[in-house]
Amino acid sequence: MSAYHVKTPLVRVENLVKEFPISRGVLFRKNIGSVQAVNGVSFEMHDGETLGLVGESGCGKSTTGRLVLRLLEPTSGRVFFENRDLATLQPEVLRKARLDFRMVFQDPYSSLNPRMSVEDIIAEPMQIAGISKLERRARARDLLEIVGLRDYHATRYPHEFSGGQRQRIGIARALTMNPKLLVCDEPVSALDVSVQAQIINLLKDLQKKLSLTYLFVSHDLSVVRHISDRIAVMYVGKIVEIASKKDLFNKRLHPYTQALLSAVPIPVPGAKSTRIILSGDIPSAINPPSGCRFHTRCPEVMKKCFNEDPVLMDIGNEHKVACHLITH
Amino acid sequence: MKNDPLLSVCDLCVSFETEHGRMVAVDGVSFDLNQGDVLGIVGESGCGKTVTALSLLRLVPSPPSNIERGKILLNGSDLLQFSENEMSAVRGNDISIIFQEPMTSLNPVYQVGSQIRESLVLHQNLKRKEAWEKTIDLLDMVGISDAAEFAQNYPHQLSGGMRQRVMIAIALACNPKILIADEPTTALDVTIQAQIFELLRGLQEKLKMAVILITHDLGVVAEFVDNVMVMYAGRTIEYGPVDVIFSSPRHPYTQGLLSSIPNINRDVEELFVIPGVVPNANEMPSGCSFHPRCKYVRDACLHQIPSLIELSPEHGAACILAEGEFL
Repeated sequence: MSAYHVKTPLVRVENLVKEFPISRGVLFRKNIGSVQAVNGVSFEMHDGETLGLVGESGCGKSTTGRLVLRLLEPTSGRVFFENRDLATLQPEVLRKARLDFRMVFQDPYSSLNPRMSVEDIIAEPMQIAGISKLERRARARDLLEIVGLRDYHATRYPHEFSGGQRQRIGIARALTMNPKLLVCDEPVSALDVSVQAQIINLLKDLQKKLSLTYLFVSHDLSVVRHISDRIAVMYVGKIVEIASKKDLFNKRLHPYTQALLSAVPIPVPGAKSTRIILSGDIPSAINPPSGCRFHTRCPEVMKKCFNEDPVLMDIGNEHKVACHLITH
Repeated sequence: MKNDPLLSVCDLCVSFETEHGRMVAVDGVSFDLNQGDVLGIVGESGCGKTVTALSLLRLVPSPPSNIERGKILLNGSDLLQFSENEMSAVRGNDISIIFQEPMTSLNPVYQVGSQIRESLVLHQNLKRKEAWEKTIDLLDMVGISDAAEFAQNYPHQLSGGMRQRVMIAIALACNPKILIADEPTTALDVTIQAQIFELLRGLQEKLKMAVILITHDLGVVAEFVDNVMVMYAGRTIEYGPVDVIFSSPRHPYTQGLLSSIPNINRDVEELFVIPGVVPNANEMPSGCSFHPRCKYVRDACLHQIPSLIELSPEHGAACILAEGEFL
């Protein structure tokens, strides 16, 4: 743990905010408000670790992933990659820097160009970097090997592959330029259970071999537990708890974390479930509740929660929670 | 003596005419369902679980589909011999269904209340006013507060969880004996999923309905159902009480499926993997359809389609090794 403080983090995210405008009208479009998809998110990621980002739909986890890659411009806040502020980089420099961080997408059906052969899909980043055709071919075939496909697959087209194989191609493409960071946005949620295990094992294996760092965005807590070193739980645009996997699962301090973890069905018949059933729906990010955003569903809501937004506080051992119960 | 089951499916076989020729989606599926039972049908995409469920209501369009053989006995009478009119009377009254994506099952241009009322007017010949009162009661029953006001909403104004509650209210409007739930929570978030299952469990116990739950989520199966039927490539490969299936599965596919899911309560270094992928319906392997992925494969598996071997009165598996010691 203490080693973390000495080394500079690979990624440092400071107070990230992203608002999407909502506009109405056809001829005279005007903005009538905004969705606060991400609201003041800060975290660090260290070399070689996997940070799991979990939460329910609309909590801002995917947006956060895209902001880290600067695929989206933040409304405010900063992202440092190896101590360089990505927002200040010139477009040319940013393009170079981007070789170090890549993305693996959720849907292996829509994220591969159906008109390109597998080889071309994997080699495209190298073409942009100006690497010769011969080298590109060799590298593409190497990568296919690395992700568990065969070199005769190189000349085929995406529609000839199953979902799991396509996800392997997506991973190979992300690895082309030897990145340091992969942002994996729900990489296994479109896959069948038996194939899901294959891809998770592949990702873990690659991490070891290539010393990759993962930001693993997912709604599936069992998968996140399996792959992550640390986990951040998001709720309506904010991180409510972040801790090492062990602390998060054993201590689970935030009432939302407790409810979320308890809601996952356990594949053991007759298992004692101490399920916390939350009332109500996830609030909309268009007008999030005042104070603590979880107060509308929190079983332990207090007066203070209605108007005071709790800050994310370190309670020791890199375990941070944003809840008045803990930090009052 | 045992009573006759409420629903008894025998040797159901459903095929589709496609441009690649005839494809068998469901091949010889049989099961019984008693009143108040909860049966889980488990399997991966394309295993035939949804086609099985839709066939029970004869909701698979024909052509291209064709129920080739089999019987679906509801209280002893074969639904496959019913006329379309008789079938309409069964749907909703005796057997109801809720689907995965509630948004596509609700009509976007009508208020949800009037959609619930419609089924009451059609199936129970209630007057509009009576039907409206019942509608409010139903919404109340599925845990919606302020039902009268809620009924005025259009589907797009509701969240996924609320829409699924409306679908459940429609499905239960005519007190069906059997509710088929086809992946009812797959489109929902996990905290909302917990709410919906809490609701379904409560209603199932209160109304003593039989439920057929179709899902790929083994966690949901473990918590919600009494009996499990595991399907692979159109066939039942194992069935039994839920605790038996989870504690001593006898088919290699069931074993693999159970050990390939990451557990939220335990850390494992590496997940167990079933190699390969689910076969396509047009390139079905010979013999046992699981043999290309099976680590216990024998010569016989390549040629012979294994039949279900009864291991105990309630438990069976379709594997030539099911009785042997391959573990």
